[in-house]
Amino acid sequence: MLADVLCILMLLSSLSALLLGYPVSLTLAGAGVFWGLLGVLLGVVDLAFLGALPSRVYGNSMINTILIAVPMFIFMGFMLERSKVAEELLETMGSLFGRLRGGLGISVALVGGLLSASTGIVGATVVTMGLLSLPSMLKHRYSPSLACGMICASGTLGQIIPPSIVLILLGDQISHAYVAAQHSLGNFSPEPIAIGDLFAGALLPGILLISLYILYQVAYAYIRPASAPAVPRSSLAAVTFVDFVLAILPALLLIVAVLGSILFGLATSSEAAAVGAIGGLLLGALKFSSNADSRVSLVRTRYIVFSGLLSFISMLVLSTCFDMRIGRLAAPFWDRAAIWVSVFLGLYLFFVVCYAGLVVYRAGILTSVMRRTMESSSMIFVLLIGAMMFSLSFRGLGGDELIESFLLSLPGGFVGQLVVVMLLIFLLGFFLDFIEIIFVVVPLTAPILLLSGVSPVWLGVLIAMNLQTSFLTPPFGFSLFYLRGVAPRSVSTLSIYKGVVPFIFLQLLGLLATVMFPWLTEWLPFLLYGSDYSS
Amino acid sequence: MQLFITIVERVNRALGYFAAWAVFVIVALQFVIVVTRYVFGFNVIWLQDLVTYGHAMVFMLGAAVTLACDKHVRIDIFYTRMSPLWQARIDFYSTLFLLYPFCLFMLWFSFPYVIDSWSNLEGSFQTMGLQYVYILKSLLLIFPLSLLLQGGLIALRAYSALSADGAHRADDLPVR
Repeated sequence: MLADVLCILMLLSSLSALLLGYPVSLTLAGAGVFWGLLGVLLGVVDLAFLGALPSRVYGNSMINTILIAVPMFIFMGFMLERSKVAEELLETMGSLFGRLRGGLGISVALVGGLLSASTGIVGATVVTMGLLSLPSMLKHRYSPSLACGMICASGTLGQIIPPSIVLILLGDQISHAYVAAQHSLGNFSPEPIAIGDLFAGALLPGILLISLYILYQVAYAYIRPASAPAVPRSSLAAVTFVDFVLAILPALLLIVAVLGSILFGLATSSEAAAVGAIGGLLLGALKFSSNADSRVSLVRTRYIVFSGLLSFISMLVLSTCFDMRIGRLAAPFWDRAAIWVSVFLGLYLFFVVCYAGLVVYRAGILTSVMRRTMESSSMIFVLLIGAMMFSLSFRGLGGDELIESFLLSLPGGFVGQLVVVMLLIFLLGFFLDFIEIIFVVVPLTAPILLLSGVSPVWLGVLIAMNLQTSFLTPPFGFSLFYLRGVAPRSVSTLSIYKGVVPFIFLQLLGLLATVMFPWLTEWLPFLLYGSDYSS
Repeated sequence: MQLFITIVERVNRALGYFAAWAVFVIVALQFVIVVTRYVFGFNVIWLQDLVTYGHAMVFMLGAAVTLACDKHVRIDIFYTRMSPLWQARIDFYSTLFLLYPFCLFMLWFSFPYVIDSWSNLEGSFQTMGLQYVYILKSLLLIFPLSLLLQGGLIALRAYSALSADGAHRADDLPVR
């Protein structure tokens, strides 16, 4: 009884402390220590239980092999942001679709989808589109609120379309929750959930959302043509097929290399992330040597980067054609020849990467990208550590049992529980960041939901979609802040808020569709890996 | 006092610099692993361990400098609208009553954990792995220590803002 009161006090006090504005991670950690030690003093918590913190921090954050992909994906995202992939995509797509009614909106949705499948950094995408597409949409007399809503919504797709940081962090937590749930169901050797499963599961719902946005745009343009007029052909830049391919190629190559290798189970997510990060570095080298004073250096960089790419691809091709395992005795001549060729190609590739690194470093970009990656990763992982401290104390006080008995007492069984948890996440999303929700709410509630044997991948995708929506909800949705920061003054904040409302409903529609048709999330993982978590 | 401030700032900046380079190093090493694994078909376990070590260094060493640059996410609905005086108050008391207890708690419990690891020079589970787990685990002490020091600076700065204001309390600075 005492412990229950302490739990509730802990939750309420921490929530109000968070609103004061001290860094979330440190607030959670401090609150955890305070209530945990109070519990020890009152004799409801075992001090040794709290003492598990160092080994938790070590095991679940420092040597967590899944989370190693996080800094790498952030690095890749910042690198791509600086190499202006988004700008080129937007310009070409805009000229391509502009002459359709609502075409600029469609191009925003498509570019949003492409960018999220390659990088997935919400802030960067919204800012870029707000700076480039919004002025051109306004100039061509699109309704400001429609334009703003489209940009905000398309920018958040990075959260749900793999590879995304949300899905990696969520996958890690859901996997723990799933193992815990299976233990209490009597299965002591459950399969942990692979990140690839969650990525594959989120792909169709993500595509569904893009299609919903585009459908909405098309319908709107036909019902109210004045809100999204076609752009006269004379004011559009002529786009040749070559321009189109050149603009879309970098993003497409990265998507195939990174997402493809994860989805087809060829590489772990951190390996794929590293390939993507190096790809971003090469793109950056191309971009920044064109800014340099002499044209010769651009041509040289082009040759070097493309030959590097070629050598990487030919190494992979060679390795599929020949048995190139090193250390075999008496390998046939052709295998040995292939190994030697690859060694040279590898050394050349090493040189290319060093060269690209040097170019990007000289342009002053590498240092800032590393710095920002370090800051973002520290922010995420310190939050993870703070949330660990918080949950440790909360569990020590018996908070998990309190939540379990509360959820189990709800009417309507599993559906009731799901609705309440989803509603909770949605409401918390109004003022908490997605990371906090993933680290605090998901570990406490997901094990209980998973007790009823639903697919963890399905649940994970639902939570991810829900969190994505929280980026859009006024007044504190991050996407809205980012757009407000770059939108011209003539666009009122209210019209941004008004613009996202229909998209929030589209999100809910997508969420509902995923609830009703679980195969949206289960079909692709089953097809790719034969995974079947539902029991 | 000034010397203490300079030293803490220098040390944390150095740690942050180290952590930022660790980002690039782990990306590059992981790429080398991809090539050796998928082209030449052999796993270098100690290299993978090195990536793990680097990954841990990124945030365990970078946490304090991230705090110094104020890049840890805040819920700034109210915070940004408060007067600098109130912001200083919140920073001062929260550092004292949230950050400090946590750092001390973590130091207290990490100490035996890390000492234990050092006393038997704990190595990797895998025989081919990197055998320096005790050094890796030492990060568990550096992390709270560097946060503690950086928190000290923040509290000092907030305190001086508070006491400077106490001299002429009348102008409770206007809300932005």
